[in-house]
This record gives sequence, structure tokens and C-alpha cells, in this order.
Amino acid sequence: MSPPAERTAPQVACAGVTKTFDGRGGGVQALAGIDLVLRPGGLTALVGPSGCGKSTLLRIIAGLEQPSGGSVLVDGAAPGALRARGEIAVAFQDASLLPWRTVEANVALALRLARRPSAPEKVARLIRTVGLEGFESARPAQLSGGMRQRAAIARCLVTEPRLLLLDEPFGAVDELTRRRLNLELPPIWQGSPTTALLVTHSIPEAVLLADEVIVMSARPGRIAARVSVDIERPRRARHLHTAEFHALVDQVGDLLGVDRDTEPVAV
Amino acid sequence: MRGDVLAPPVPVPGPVVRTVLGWAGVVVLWEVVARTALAGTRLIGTPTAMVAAAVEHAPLYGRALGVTLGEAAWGFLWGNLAAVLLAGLVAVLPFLERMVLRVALVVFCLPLVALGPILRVVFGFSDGPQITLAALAVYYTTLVPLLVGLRAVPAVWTDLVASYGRGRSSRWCGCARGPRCPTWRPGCRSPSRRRSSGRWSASSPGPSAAWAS
Repeated sequence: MSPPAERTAPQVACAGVTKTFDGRGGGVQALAGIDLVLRPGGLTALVGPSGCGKSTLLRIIAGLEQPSGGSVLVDGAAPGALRARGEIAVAFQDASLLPWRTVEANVALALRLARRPSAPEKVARLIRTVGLEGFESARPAQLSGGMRQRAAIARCLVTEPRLLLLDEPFGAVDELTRRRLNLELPPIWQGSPTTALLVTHSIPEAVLLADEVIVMSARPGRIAARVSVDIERPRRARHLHTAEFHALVDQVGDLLGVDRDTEPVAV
Repeated sequence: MRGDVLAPPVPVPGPVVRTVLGWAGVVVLWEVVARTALAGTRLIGTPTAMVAAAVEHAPLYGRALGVTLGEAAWGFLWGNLAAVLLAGLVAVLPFLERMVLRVALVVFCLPLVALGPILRVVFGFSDGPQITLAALAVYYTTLVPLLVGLRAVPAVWTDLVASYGRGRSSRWCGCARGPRCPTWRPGCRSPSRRRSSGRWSASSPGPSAAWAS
């Protein structure tokens, strides 16, 4: 019997991806000519103004939407094959836990959906790792927003995905919880052969978590700039107070024009 | 006033006792009215006379009740099964929803009296017509809440299932249980009264019994 192939982080490449949504008054172009290569084994963050197509691009990479033009290749093939093997996991802004299932059953659900054998030990270990020990039998309604998001992350990781897509996973929690989750959860998958893409509205979150920040322009979404983040790992709370971190946050902010003075709106 | 406060509380009967007393009062009132104001009019019988008749003809009533309940149960089963299958079809092929609902509504609204002779011709002398009528009384009120429940599934749940490469049927089977149950269960219960009354009229003596029995 040959030894199992070594798991490697996949290469994700988007070439000329466009997306137009049909509408009554003509189509709405969400994405225009996106050329993007995600760093294998790294975390790439997508930031941009609302409606610039960040989530649409993530959904296209996940295979949940079809591009109107261009191609998305994962290891040189369509993402469908990776998806069918359960090697893609998506974390949504809404934790999307099934309310009639316990935390344990929600985490184990990913194994069933990915047609993997049940692995109670792995489920229990991940629940412990995300800090939900003692809540295995709790229903989502009995958890706080942060705890639900932890359970959702555990569900994503239980299949050991090679491609992890995070669509504003911490967007629905308060700032304190968000900061804590930013520091506690990413180290769980970092170090494993996982390529990750994070969509976020938070510039500090993007800089704290990512190896590269992709700045998108307003609709139709285009890639406006790339900012490499070379802050050492593992990243801790102290990194939030370094000059390097603030310089990067300011750089991304400038690219997005967040601090530009605007004329007051006439009433 | 101090004396009122310190007076022992008047015992209040519990809910079960109050219910029994209420029903007993209704039956007594019924008996009295039937024997006095409506005596000799042959409009309603007295409870005691009805009990006496039921005891006297117990074998006949028992057999009729058993047949009626059996047919109603089969109709309930087939009707709900048809509703579940139709809802599953609509979940997998959503473009069929409008057509399925329209046909279902038309069939549901057909008068039972008109359907009876047709079913008798189709099924011949068997329990088929009775069971079919019971099923027709049930399926629509199950189908509609079931579809409402299926539509109530949040898009993010279906996205979650789809993100693991699972097809449309898996999406509905995997994550529709929660939203559809709260609407489906009352839907299953609500037609039961209609079904019972429909079967009762079909099994009662009279014009309808000519085709239903």
C-alpha cells in the first residue's frame, strides 16, 4: 500500500474573473477583470468598500456562484473537484449553525456533508481547541454570538480543509469579542497546509490576520492594490500597538480613501 | 377589614374539576331543554336516549366506527405521503411550484359530492373512494405549510451544504428539517377534523352513502 499523499496547500488562481448579475434595468456588473493568486498556505484578506464584490469573489472561488467570465482554478482544476472532496470550507458572517442540533452535532455535520467517517474524538478536540469545552450539548440559542462563531470555525476545521474561505466571520460580534477571536482562532489553522481567504470590512483585522491584503475598488470591483504584511507570526495583542502595524493600517486606509476629507452633504 | 384578611381562603376547585363540572352542566342543560322546551319537536334527542341507543346497538356502532376510523387513517397516511412527495418535488424543481400548487388547489376544492361517483366508477366496490376522499381532505393543508417551511430555510444554510459539494436534494433534506417542522406538524393536525367530519358524512345514511358505501 502506497503511503498517503502529503497534503499541500492549494494554489488558487483567478484569471479575468467578471460577474454580472441580471436585473430588470439591465445587468449589474459586480466584478471586472479580477486577476488574483492566493498565497499557498497563507491568508489573503480582501478589503474594499461595501458592494465592491468581495463576497461575490469569495462565493465564486467557493463554487457557490458561477463567474460570468474568466476562470478560477484550484491546483490547476475547477474548484468543484476540491469541493466534492470536502476540502473547501466556508465560514459565513452568520454562524449558520442548525438550531435543532447541539454544538457537537453541528461540528460533526461538516464530516457528514463531506462524506467523511464520523470522528467523535476529533470533534471533541476541536470543540476544546476553540474554547467551547462544556458546551458540547448546548444548542446554538444557548450560546453567545462569539461562541456560535467559535462553533462555526470548529465546523469549518473538522474536515481539515485545504482551502478555507472566511466571509466576514467575525462581522456579527461585538468589538471586544472580535478582537479576542482574531487573536485566538487563526493560530488553530495556521501552520496546517491551508490556503485561506478572508473577506472583511475591518482594516485592522485584515492587517492582523493576513499575509497579504488585497484592496478592491468600488463597483465594479477591481483589484486596486496589494499590500504585503510582513509582521512576524504568531501575532499577539502586542502587535496591535506597534508602529509597523499602524503604518500598514494607515497604508490600507489611504488606499481605500477612508480618511479623505469630504464635503458635508447639503440638506 | 382586618377580619377579611385573616379569614381562611375559600377553596377553589382545580382546572380538571372545573372542566368536568362545566361539561356536566352542559349535558344537564341539554337534557332539560330537550325534555321541556323542545319536547315532542323531534329536533334533538336527549343525551340519555342517545346513550341508551348506543348501548342497545353497540355491535353496529362499533363496527361502523372501526371501519370509518380505519379508512380515515389510511386516507390520512396517503394524503400526507402525497403532500410530502409533492413538496419534495417542488423543493428539487422550484419552477414546478406554481403548477403543483394550482393543480393541488383545484383538486382540493372539487366538491366531494361530485368526486364520489367518479371515484366509485374508478375503484368499483371497495374502500378506495372513502380512502381517496379522506386523503384529498388532508393533503392540501399539509402541502402548503410544508412548502412554507421549506421556503423558510435561510439561504446561508443551503450555501453551507452546497459548499461541501452537495446537491439540491441534500440541501433540502439536510437543513430543512427545522423550519419545516413547526409549520408541517400543525398542518398535519388541522385537516384531521375536516377529515373526520368528511368521513362521518360519507358513512352516514343518506344520498352520499349511495356512492360512498
